[in-house]
Amino acid sequence: MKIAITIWGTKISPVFDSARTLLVVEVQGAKVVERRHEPFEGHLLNRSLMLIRALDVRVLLCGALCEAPARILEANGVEVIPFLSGDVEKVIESYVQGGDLAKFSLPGCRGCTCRWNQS
Amino acid sequence: MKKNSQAAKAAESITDAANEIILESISDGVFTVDLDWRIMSFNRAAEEITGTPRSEAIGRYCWEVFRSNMCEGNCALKRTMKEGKSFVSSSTHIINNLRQNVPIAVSTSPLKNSKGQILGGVETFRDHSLVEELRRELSGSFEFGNMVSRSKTMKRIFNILPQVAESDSTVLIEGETGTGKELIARALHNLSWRKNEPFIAINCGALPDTLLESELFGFKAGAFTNADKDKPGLFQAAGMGTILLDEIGDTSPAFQVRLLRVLEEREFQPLGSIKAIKTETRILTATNCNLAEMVERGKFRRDLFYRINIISISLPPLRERMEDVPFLVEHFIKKLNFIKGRSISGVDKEAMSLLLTHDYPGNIRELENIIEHGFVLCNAGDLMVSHLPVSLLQRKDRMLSPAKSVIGENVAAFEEETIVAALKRNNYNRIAAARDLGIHKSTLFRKLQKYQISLPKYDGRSSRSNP
Repeated sequence: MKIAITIWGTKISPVFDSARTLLVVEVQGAKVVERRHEPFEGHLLNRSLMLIRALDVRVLLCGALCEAPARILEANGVEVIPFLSGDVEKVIESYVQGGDLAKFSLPGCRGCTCRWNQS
Repeated sequence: MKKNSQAAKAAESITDAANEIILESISDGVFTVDLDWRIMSFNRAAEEITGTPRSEAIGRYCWEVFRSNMCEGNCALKRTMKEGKSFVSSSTHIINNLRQNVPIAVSTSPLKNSKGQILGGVETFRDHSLVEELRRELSGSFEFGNMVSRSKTMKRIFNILPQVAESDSTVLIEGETGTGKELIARALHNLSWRKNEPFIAINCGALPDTLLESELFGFKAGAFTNADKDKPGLFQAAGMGTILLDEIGDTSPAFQVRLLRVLEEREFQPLGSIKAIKTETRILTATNCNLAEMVERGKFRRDLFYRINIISISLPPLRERMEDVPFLVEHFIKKLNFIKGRSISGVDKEAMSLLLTHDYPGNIRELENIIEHGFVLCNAGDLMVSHLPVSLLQRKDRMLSPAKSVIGENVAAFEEETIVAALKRNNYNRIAAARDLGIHKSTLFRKLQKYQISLPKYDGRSSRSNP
C-alpha cells in the first residue's frame, strides 16, 4: 500500500494548500520498502488529486486542510489524515507500526486528525 | 533618588500590567516568537481566530499554530526578522481548528533590545471574514459560474452548490423553462473533482425511446437495421464526468425502468449487447414538470423519483425575482458587448420600466433574447423602447397607453391573466380553477366566454383523456 505525506524539509508541511513536495512511501507489512519525492502543487487541488490517483496512493498524511478539499479527496477513495505536524520519519514510523497519530496533532487540532467520515 | 527609582519601578510594573490588559482586550490576534520561531506569547484574540488555546500554542513553532498559506514560502515574520523592519497588512488565509479557511490581514515587526539586537518578532493579525462578507453584500450581487443574481433564494442555492458538487449523489434540478437549470448543472460539474472530465447534457424529451437509449447506452453492430458497427453511448463518452438528463419528466415508463437500473446497479447494457458495462458517471436530472405531482398521477415512477430526488434544487421563475432584471440586463449587455465587439452603454429608463413590467414566461432565456434583439436594432448608446421586441411594445400599449389606460380595461386584463394562470395551475380543470380563484364555477364559465379564453380539449378531470 502506498501512503503520501506533504512535506516541508524534514517536517510535515503545515498547510496542505502550500505544500510543494509529496513524499510517497510504499509500505509492506510494517516496513517501508520504497520511497520517492514528487513535486506537488497543493493549491491546485485537481492536479494534486490526479497525481495522488496516478500514484495509487491510498492514504494521505498532511498538515492543516480545509473540509471541502478533504471531502473531495475522500470521495476519490483516499483516506485523509490531516492536521498532523512534526518530524516526517517519526510520523511514518508511528503510522506503519499502527501507533496513535494524535500525539502528532497540530496544536488545538487534536480532534481533527481522524478521518472526516468518522469525526 | 531612591524614591525616584521606586516610582520608576512602580510605573514600569503598571505599564506592563496595562500592556497585558490592552493585549488581552483588543480584537487583533497578537503573538511573539523567539529566534527559533517558537511562540512566546499568544493573546486572547489569537486564541479565538486560530482556535488554538494559549496553553497549547506557547512553545510550539509558529507555523504549527498559525497555519497560514504564507508560512512555507513567503513568511512575513521571516522577512521582518531578516531585514529588521516592519511589514503592514499583508493579506493571507489561515486554517483554523474547525477546518475553515479564514481570510486575515497580517502585520509584522521585529522585537529588539535596547542595543537594537533582534530578539524575535511580533505578528498581529485581523480576522477579515466579516470584511470579505460585507464586501460581497455591498456589491449586492452573487455570482456563480455564468449565473448572477441579487435574490435571496438564488443566494441560498449558490451557497449550497459547493457541498452538493462535492457529493456524488444524483441531483434533481427543477424549474420552468429558461430558469438556468443547465447552468446549475454545469456549475455542479465545474465545482466537483470531475471538472476536467466531460460534461454532457441531453434533452430526453426531444428523442423517441429507442433513439434516446442508443444515444445514452450505445449499441452493438447488428442491434438494428443500419447498425453496421458498434457505437459507444454518452455514458461511455462521459466516463468519470457528468451527464445531465434534461426534461426527465418527459421520458416513457419503459425508459424510466432502464434508467432506474443504471442508478441502482451503476451499470448499463448497450442495445444488442448481453454484457453490462459499469459506469462511474455522475447523473444530474432536470425537469420543468412537477415530478411529485406526476408521481401521484401515475405518470412518473415513484421509485425513480425517490432515486433521483436525493438532492433537489428548485429554481424560481424570473417573475418571482424581478429584482434581478436590472442586474441581468447589465450582465447580458456586458456579455453581448464582449461577444459582438459593441459598446452599448445600458438601457434607458423607459425601456427598463417596460422590462420590469413583463412577466417573462420564458424566464431568463427570454430576457437574454430581448436584449439580443435590442443589439440588432441599436448601434450605440442606450437600448430604448424602440429597440425592444414588438410583443413587449404591444403589451406596453395595452398597459400604459393613455388612450387605453382606463382602470376598467387594466382590471379586465389582469382578471383575464389571473384566470388563465389558475387554469394552467389546475391542469385546465375548470372546477378546481374556480375553487382556486374563490369564485363559483358558473362565474368562471361566464368569464371564459367574456374574455374568449380558449381551452384545450381535455378538462383536467380525467388523466385518461389528457395528452
